[in-house]
Formats: sequence, structure tokens, C-alpha cells
Amino acid sequence: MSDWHDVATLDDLWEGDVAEVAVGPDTILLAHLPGRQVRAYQGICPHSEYSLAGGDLDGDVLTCTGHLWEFDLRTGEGVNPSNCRLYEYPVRLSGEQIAVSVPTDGRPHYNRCRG
Amino acid sequence: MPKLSRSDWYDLARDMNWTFGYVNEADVFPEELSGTGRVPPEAWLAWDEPYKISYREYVHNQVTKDTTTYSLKNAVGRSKLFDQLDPGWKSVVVAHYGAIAMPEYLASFGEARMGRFGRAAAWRNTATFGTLDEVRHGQIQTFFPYGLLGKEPRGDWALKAFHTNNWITLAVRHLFDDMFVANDALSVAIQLTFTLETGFTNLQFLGMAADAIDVGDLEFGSLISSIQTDEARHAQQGEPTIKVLIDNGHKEYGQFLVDHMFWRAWRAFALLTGLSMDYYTPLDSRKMSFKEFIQDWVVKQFADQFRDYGLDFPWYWDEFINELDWYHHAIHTVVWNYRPSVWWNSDAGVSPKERQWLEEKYPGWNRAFGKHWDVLTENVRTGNLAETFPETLPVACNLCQLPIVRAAGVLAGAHTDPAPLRHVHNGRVYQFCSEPCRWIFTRRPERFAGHKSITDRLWTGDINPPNIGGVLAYMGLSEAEHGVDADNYAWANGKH
Amino acid sequence: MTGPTRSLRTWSIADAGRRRLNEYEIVTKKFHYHFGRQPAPFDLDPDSPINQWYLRHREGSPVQADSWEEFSDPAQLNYRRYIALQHDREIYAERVVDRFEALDHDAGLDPAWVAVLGRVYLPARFALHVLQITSLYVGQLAPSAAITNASFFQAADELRALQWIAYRAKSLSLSHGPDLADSTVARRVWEQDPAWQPARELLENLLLAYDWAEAFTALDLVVKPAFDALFKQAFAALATANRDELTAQLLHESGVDSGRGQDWTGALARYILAARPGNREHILGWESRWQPRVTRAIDALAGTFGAAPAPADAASVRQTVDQATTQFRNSWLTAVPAT
Ligand code: FES
Ligand SMILES: [Fe+2]
Repeated sequence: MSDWHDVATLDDLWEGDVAEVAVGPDTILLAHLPGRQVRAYQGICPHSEYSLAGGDLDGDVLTCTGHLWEFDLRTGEGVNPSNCRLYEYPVRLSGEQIAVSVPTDGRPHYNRCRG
Repeated sequence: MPKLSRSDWYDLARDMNWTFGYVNEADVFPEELSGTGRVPPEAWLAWDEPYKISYREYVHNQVTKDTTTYSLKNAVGRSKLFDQLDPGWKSVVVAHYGAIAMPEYLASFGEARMGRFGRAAAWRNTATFGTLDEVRHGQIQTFFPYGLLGKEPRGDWALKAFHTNNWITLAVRHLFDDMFVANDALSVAIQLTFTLETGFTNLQFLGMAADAIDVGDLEFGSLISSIQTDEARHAQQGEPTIKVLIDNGHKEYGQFLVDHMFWRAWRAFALLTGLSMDYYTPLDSRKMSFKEFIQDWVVKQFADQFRDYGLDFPWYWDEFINELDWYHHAIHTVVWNYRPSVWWNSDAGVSPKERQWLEEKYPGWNRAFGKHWDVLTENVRTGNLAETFPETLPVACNLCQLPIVRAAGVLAGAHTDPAPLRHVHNGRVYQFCSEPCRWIFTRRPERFAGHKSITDRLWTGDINPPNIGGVLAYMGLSEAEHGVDADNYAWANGKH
Repeated sequence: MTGPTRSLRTWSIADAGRRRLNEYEIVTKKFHYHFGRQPAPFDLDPDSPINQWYLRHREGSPVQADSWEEFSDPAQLNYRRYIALQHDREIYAERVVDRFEALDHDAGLDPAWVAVLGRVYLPARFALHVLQITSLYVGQLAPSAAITNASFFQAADELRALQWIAYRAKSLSLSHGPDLADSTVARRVWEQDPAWQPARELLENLLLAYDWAEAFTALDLVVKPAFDALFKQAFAALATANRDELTAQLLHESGVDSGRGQDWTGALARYILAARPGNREHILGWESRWQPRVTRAIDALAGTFGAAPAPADAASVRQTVDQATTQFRNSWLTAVPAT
């Protein structure tokens, strides 16, 4: 089970922007990639819990300010290190509105990669 | 671009591990330099740096960073930006250069120690980049203050400080020699990269860069954030090292190394960052108090690490949390009282508005510290400046080398007895500011015992004459270099 | 009373007498405040192990100078300049690789030549790694920052060379079989192939040269010059003869780093010989202790050059190495007259 939540509009999130939104206990990273592609992932870095929205987005690759880990936001896959992927939330665009689907399973939606 | 990507060939550049056939492996990795002997050699092959970089990527990335940082410096250098900075902020910068530039350079020794005596080729390669990084940090943080010499002669201390026996230098030098210059590779990984860089400096540099931009110091801001990106990368040598140690049943030793250095790092941060954040940075630019910063960032960071690696909180955790309320306030008072003895201008930071902020952030500040500043304020107002300088010298801790401020701890309700803690080793009496400092000493007395604190030097006749004048000269301060009140006492006269 | 009380035109402790310091000097001179410090270099117990290690192997080295600060790297490299330089060199190396990859160069190599690469060139990463970490050792034990920094940069140069070999190992494996990119195969050659054993014996022992000046002499005046000549000259020529211009050019490119290395190490050797009359004897003593092992190592490796489809005989390889090392030796030894 999961619920859809309106979290932002395309006016809030321009192409090349990332932003952090909260839905209940979930901290979510939104990213607007080239080509009107919007993605939603866990908002907190799987390495050491820095906020990913503070990172730098270059093309599709986001670099976390914490320790420079890189993630491909088109897929959520880790680039460096490569064995660590972000938890991804489904995204729906209707017109300007961005909605994110958050599971209502009461579990954390969050991958961790350390050591 | 060449067709293969780094991940295709990277493992082949870190597989240079072999069994020694012509010499004894123990002689190649002497325990005093390597420290890796607890874990069997093969077990070190599991050492895997999470973040990977090749030489090509390294030089390409770094050249961009250097170009950005140095061109900003050139642009700013031609402007009046520095002159317009708040005097308290200038003190932050000057204190930072004197206390940190040389240690950063020395950290290249710690990195090179791991690069030679680390037990896995992957580790040694990673540390080779770390070595270069720290040369960069040492050089860039001396080159920038050199450029300021015309405007800010105390930038001289970026190079000079470690040639002197200034008491601040003594404290910082003792700390960093213990942490990475005179330390073995394993302990450097755990104490420098895991405990200090991951736990403290990375966060501090992020915070400091933001403050610098906020007060308008673009040069320092870009310098610090550029350095932080290197630290963030090479700090990641700590995690695989502690993992190998713990996976091989040596959690207790890892815990000991962390506990030892976490306390020392806290002491240094209270001194350098505590004063900067709560007293020197202009009020408008303060985003959070030092205590909030430590709680939000350092405490949380360590909580994560401890949990992830199955480590425990250091045994003195309560005392540490307790000290967040008072220790750096006490040190600030000492530094300001003895302001001629430091190479920057102490910013009292106790104008009425600032005092209000302090009381808000640290309820009880007025009761514990305000009274002392009331007296000083009164002395300044009535023109009794001489009364604001103390006549006696504080006693330095034989471990952290900082003044023992337990009396302030009593005022703050943290201690019941102002007397220094004592320990006798081989007939010599050592004095300590705190239980953790004494514990660090007594766990390995042979590591520390032969060192003399500034107090010891005074008592054993190394400093002549043994009065304040003699001490200041011994500390390498010419009269022109004696620190003065950063605001020319405006805080006391209500003019700030 | 606030603000600066006087202004300074240069470091107070590195004043060059009314001459502007250049960037290299500003960030290099007088950094090793701990060298010769009393009672010990570092602020722990003077008897603590690393203080004792430095007192013995650095301050206590038989090679001494009145002021190590007077020595400068002839290239005057600080970090910023080193990185800028190597950034350009890596762009060059990438272009070389690009050009040959576009021609599908590896696929055209004679399998018999690839076998020589697998036996000699690819396992050389072990040797380079020893040179790399020994440079880090010399750097951390050196008496001045000019020596330390140059040595650290040199360590990075070795890592650079090593990584291009790793790159080539993988790339060759794609057209000539996975063994070439198999770490256990390379390690077996390094640990067991008779052609490598004298080199391995030499390099393992090099790691035990702990007196800083002996480590410098052994590494920079004896071992590295010979290995550089063997690989970056003799083996590069062999690669050309075997139509492997890519390997040859990468080795030549790495040879540029070696040339820079010989500039500073030669300059330091000259500085040492001139600094104190007794130094010559120590340097030459160490040289003669390390030279026979180097000769054996080079001889054994030179023997493998004959297996190439277009072979080179061991004697000519030795001659190439001898010529290069003698020339380098003359550059520092005969330049300073014995007293
Ligand atoms: S927290 Fe994101 S890289 Fe470490
Ligand atoms: Fe202490």
C-alpha cells in the first residue's frame, strides 16, 4: 500500500534543481534532471546521513557534500562507490504538479551503506 | 577519452600484496610505525576504500580546485574586502592560520606513514593521495596568510607558530604529534581520519566555510570549502581500517584509540572552534551556538559511527556532554585574560547583546561567567585596564596542555573540587584538567611522561625570568605581537 | 590599539634579505621546525618510539649538513605547480592511449610479444609500488620540506606509472586473454619467476633501508635510476621493435617524470657531497653496498628480453642501463670534486 502526495510544482523545482521535502517521517530528495525527468529518492545520504539536497548536481550525477559519494539520479545507482543505491519513490507528473508515492508499510524507506 | 573506465582496471592497481620471501615481514612493518600487527597480514587484504580515485582523476580534479581557489584569492587580494571584515572574524582567521596551517602540512607525514606502513596496497595507494592533499593544505594555508602580511602581520604565525613555544602552539603541537606525526599507521587511520577528520574537521570546515561567506570573507570561505572536499575524500581511510580491526576481534583496541582521541579532539575544538563560534564571529552571522553545533553534528555523527561499527560511546560521554555547557566559556575567559600571550586579538564578545545571546544559548551563563565579566567591564569603564590582566599564571594540564579550569567547572556546577587531578609516575607529579586527560596519560604513561608542560618549564627554570614578561618572551611574542582586545573594549563601553 | 601594529613584507623567520620570496619558497622553506629540535623532534616523551626512530634514522644519520634548508628542488615544485604540470601530462598520456585504441592497437600485437609483456611489463607494478612507498618513506624522514615534498611528488609519479600499467593489463586482457588481468598470475610471476627474484630480493631489502640518507641513496641514486633505464629506455625500445608503440610511448611519457626525478635527486646528491667532507664516503659506501644487488636484478630481467619476437640480447640491455646510470652518476659525483 502507498499514498500519493503532492510535494512540489515544476515552478519550485527547475531543471537542474534538487530539493528536500518531508512526507510524514520520510525525508525525500527531489531532482529535476535534463529532459523533464523528475526523480524522488531517500533524502538522507546512505553513507553518513548528510542531507543529499545539499549536494551538487552535475547533469545526472549528484555529489554528496559529506564525503563526495556520487549517485546517478537517473537510476539511483551509486557511481562512486558503485555498490550503493538510493531508495527510490515513484513520481507522477500531472501538469505542473509533482506527486510522490510513499509506501504506507510503516517501515523506513532508506538504504544504508557503510563499511 | 581512453576506452576503459576506472572500475575496469582499478583493482589491478591495488593488488600489490605479496608474501615476503627475502626479508621478515615484521621488519618491513615495524610495529611502532605500522601498528597493524594485531591483525594477521592476510586479513588486511579486506581493506577496501569506499570512495575511489585514480591518479588521472586526481590531477584533473585538483587542478580545477586550485585554479578556482587561487584566482578568487587574487581577485579578493586586490580589493578592500579584508580591511572591512569584522575584527572578531579577523581573529578567527588569524588564530586558524597559526594553529592549523602547520598541522595540516604535518598531516602529510601521517598520511605518508599510512602510505608506507599501512598493511594493504589499497590503503597505501589511498594514503599516497592523502599525502598530496595534506601538502596542498599546508601550502595553501601558508600562502594565503603570506598574502595578507601587509594588512595582517600576524598571518606570520602560519609559519612561525610551530617554531615557538607559545602555549597555544604547545597544546596543538602535542595533540597533533600524538595523533599523526609521532603515531603508527593504524592509529593514524583511526585517530586522524576516523575520529578527527570524519567526526570533527569535516563538519567544522563545512560550518566555517558557511560562516566565512556570511561575514563576507570570500577568500577564506573558498579556501576552507576547497580543503573540505579533500578531507572528505581521504578521511574515508578510517572506515575500512576500523572495520578490519573489529572484524578481526580487536574492537576493544579500536575503542581505546577512539576514546583517547575523541577527548583530545574535543579539547582542541573547544579551544579553536568554541571561541570562534560563540565569541569571535559577529552576532549577526552566528547560525547556531557551539553547543548546538556539536550536538547536531558531532554527537550525531559519532552516534551513527558507534552504532554502525558496534562501538560504544566513550566511557566519559556524560562528562563530555556536560562540558558543552561550560568548558569553552572558561577557556575563553583565560585566553582573553592572557590576551597578550596569543598571536591574535581576543574578542571578548560580551557586549550586552552578546551576553543576552549567551544566556539564551547557555542558560546559567550569567551566573557562572557573567560575574567575572561584570568585574572586567567595570575595570575597563573606570579606566583600570591594569586590573584586567591577571598576575599569576594558570597551571597547564600535562596531557592536553591547556590551562586547568576546574574552578570554573565548580562555578558551573560540574565539579565540586577546583583542584587539579594528580598522578605520580616515576616520582614525578603530573596534573590534569579532567579524568579523561588523566586516563589517557595513565593508560600509556611512557608515551607522554618525558614531556614538560609550560608550567613544568616555569617551575624547572627553563623560563627566565619566571614571570609574565619572561613567559611572553619564551612564547616567542615580540611586544608588537602581543594580542590586544579585538574591539578596543567597545563591548564594555556599550559602544559596540 | 586595534588592528595591525606594523606590517610585514615577508615571513619573519624566512627573510631572504630584501629579496621577494617566490611562491615555492613561501610554502617550502623552514617548514621542518622539528628537525634537530631539543630534546626530541616531537612533543611526546623523548623516548617514545617514533621520537627515537627519527633521532636514530634522521637526526642520527651519518650524512649531515649545516643547513638542509639551503637545498631547493631545481624544478621548484610546490603542490599547485606539480598538479598543474601532471594535469597536462595526463592529458597527453590520455591522447596517446586514445590514438592507439582508435587503431585497435592491442589486437594486432604478436601473442609472443604479449607473453613478454605479461612476464616483464605487467608485474612491474610490484616494483613500482615499492619505489612509491619507499619515496613516501624518504619523504617522511627527510630533514627539510624541500626534500620531503619532492619525494612525496615522486611517490605519486610512481603511482601514476603503476596505474597506466594496470590500465594496460586490463586492456590487453580483452584481446589476449583474461590471465593478463589476473592478479594471482601477476603475483605468481613476481613471487616465483626466476627472472624477477633478484629484483624482488633487492626491493624487499630496499624497504629495510631505514636511515633516511641510506634510503635516499639506495632508492634515488642506485635502484630507481637502474629500473627507470631498464623499463623506460631498454624495454621501451624493445616494445618499439615489437611494433608495440603504445607501450613504448607510455613508458617514454613516464620517463619524463623520471627525468624530473633525476634532476632533484642529482641536485640533492651534489648538495650532500658538498655539504660535509665526510658525506661522500657514506654515500659511496651505501652505493657500493646496493650496486651488486641492482646489477643482479637488472641482469636477470634483461635475460627475458631475448624471448621477444624481435629480441634484444641481455648484453645490449645491460649496456643501455649502464650507460644511463653512469651518465646520471657522473652528473652528481664528478660534479663535486673530492676533498
Ligand atoms: S554522508 Fe554522503 S558521502 Fe558521506
Ligand atoms: Fe587536559
